[in-house]
Amino acid sequence: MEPKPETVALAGNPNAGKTTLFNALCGTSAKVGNYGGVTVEVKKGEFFTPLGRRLELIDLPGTFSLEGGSPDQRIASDVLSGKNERHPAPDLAVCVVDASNLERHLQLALEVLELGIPTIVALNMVDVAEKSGLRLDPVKLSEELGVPVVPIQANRGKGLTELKQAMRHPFPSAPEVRWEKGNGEARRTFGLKTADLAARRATLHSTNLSDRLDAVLLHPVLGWVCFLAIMFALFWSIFSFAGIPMGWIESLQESLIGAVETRMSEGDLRDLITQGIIGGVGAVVIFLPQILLLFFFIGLLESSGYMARAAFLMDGVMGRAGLSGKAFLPLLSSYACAIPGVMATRTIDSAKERLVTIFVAPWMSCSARLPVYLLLVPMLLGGSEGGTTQALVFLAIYVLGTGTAFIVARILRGHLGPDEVKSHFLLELPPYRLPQWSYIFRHVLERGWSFLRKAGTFILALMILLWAATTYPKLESDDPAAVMAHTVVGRVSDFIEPIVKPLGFDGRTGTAILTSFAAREVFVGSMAQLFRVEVAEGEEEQETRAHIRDRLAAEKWPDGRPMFGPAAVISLLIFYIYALQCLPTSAVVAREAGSWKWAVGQFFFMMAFAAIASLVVYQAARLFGLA
Amino acid sequence: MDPASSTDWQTWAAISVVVLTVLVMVIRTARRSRKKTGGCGKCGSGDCH
Repeated sequence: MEPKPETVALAGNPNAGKTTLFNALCGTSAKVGNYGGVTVEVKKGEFFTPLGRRLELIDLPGTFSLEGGSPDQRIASDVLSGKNERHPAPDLAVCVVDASNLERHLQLALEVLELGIPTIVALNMVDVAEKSGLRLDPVKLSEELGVPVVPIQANRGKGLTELKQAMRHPFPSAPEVRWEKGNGEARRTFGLKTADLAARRATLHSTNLSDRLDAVLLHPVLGWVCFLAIMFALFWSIFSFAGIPMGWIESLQESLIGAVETRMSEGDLRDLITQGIIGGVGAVVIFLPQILLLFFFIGLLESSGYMARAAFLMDGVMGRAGLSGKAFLPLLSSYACAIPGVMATRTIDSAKERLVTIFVAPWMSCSARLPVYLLLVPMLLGGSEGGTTQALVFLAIYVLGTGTAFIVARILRGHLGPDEVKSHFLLELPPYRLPQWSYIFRHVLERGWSFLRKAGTFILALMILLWAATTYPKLESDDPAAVMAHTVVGRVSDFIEPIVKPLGFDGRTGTAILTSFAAREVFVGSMAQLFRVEVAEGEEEQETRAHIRDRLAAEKWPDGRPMFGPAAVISLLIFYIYALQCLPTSAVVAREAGSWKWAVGQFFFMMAFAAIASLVVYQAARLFGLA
Repeated sequence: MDPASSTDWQTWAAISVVVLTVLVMVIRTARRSRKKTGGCGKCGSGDCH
């Protein structure tokens, strides 16, 4: 049997060119391994040394330090120190350092050296360093660190043969560190001194392109204009470009349902396949274009160096909510859909901040709530859809959700306390670079596949169960309200009617709310079904909503009061702003937070918050005679 | 085929899929929680022997 190859771990700061080196060494053999409970990904691949020796390469997540508590840092630290269950300690560590930013990147390399594993330093981006006027001395660096140092240019494939030569057997022995082990200050001082010796500045610092760009992009006024323009373009692109493939997915879903319906006779299995399975898979896949686009833009912003500037600009604003500038993009994305927003929190370094951002992200009003708002807002103001007053109410809805999210984030952040180790490098600005397209596309595909594989299976199961709960036990009747009332969901609605009545809703509205846990927009269809609204074939959505509004406006309580007066409509709107009625989001939160406890806690907190807010608003509105 | 009998077998098939889904979810959750708690419930080692 072929012996197991020895393992080489690639460690380094984000943006050090680690993944470029990984791809240059392994070609396209990279595969993504996921760690249970934690969503940070570790790539694995294989390559051969010049003497034909097979080595396994592990690309660890980019991290500034091994001492922090963020998922990236934990994975990197655990794998390198042999504490990870899935990987034994690597036989060799290759620390990729950016030669143009040696004083910062050396700190992680020194932490790796302290672990006592054989190490090689790959001095990457030597061309960038030399262009910026640095004179590098790899020999001096090697003497100071006590390990081999190989200058490389990973993006051009230069120095790779020398690096592979350095990995020949036997591996270099673990070095004796020349500072007090475990003493962060001693390590930092040694790193700065070594960087100064190994990279001397030959010319005085001159203004380069990055400095000139920063003069505009970090300008107190122009910087904000550029930032808002970039963010608007990003948000607009996600909303509009994603609409096209989302339409394709919807058409595919409809044609699949049509194909099943023509080939199978009516029955439960057909309903399960069309509504539960195809509908369930569709409910997941429909988010994919938004996710791919969002990660494409995140990759573009990160790769070019602008993300650090955006975080720098937003730091002060987000700081008021106890968050950093990096939380801005995930929250912005959540206006399109909370699922890509929650996934985008992976860019946040602090674990606690990431959890808080995940927790409040669903309060950014997502696009799935729009049909509900479009149904209810005209009922509140009278008249058809559209108009300035309705637009102002829409704005108020968005402001209310966002404002509450910020207040709760601030309270939660204060409750969770500061991070164990604060990142000192968060606001360091890397030089601008041309985006690495291959890296971005690879990254986008990996994220998309990871989403489909991880969330898809679980959400599909949830959708099947939800279908069963809205179907069984069955009742043979022509009245859809009676059929629904007989099911598990209907019975739960009966059970909760005394609870939802003080909020201004009857059992049917309660049932419609329960059915919208699959996706919020289902509420509109459920209301039409439960209140027996006749929907003509080929009718536009806008016309259907107008018919539902007319029907609801005529609905009365047994004592003759209108059932959908202003108080009830405001209460319903408040409920939809705050309630977390999206099982796919909860499934993704559980995956991203690494625990179902967070997802369940978030679900009950938001539901209780929504119910209490609706109750207060409805009862207050009744007191003011709006019922 | 008689529509009533078609409905009948479809109902049973659908219920089977739902039950199977519940079973798979329970087994997967149990497996995951066993992994998290450190493997074998009897001896506490990573791999049960």
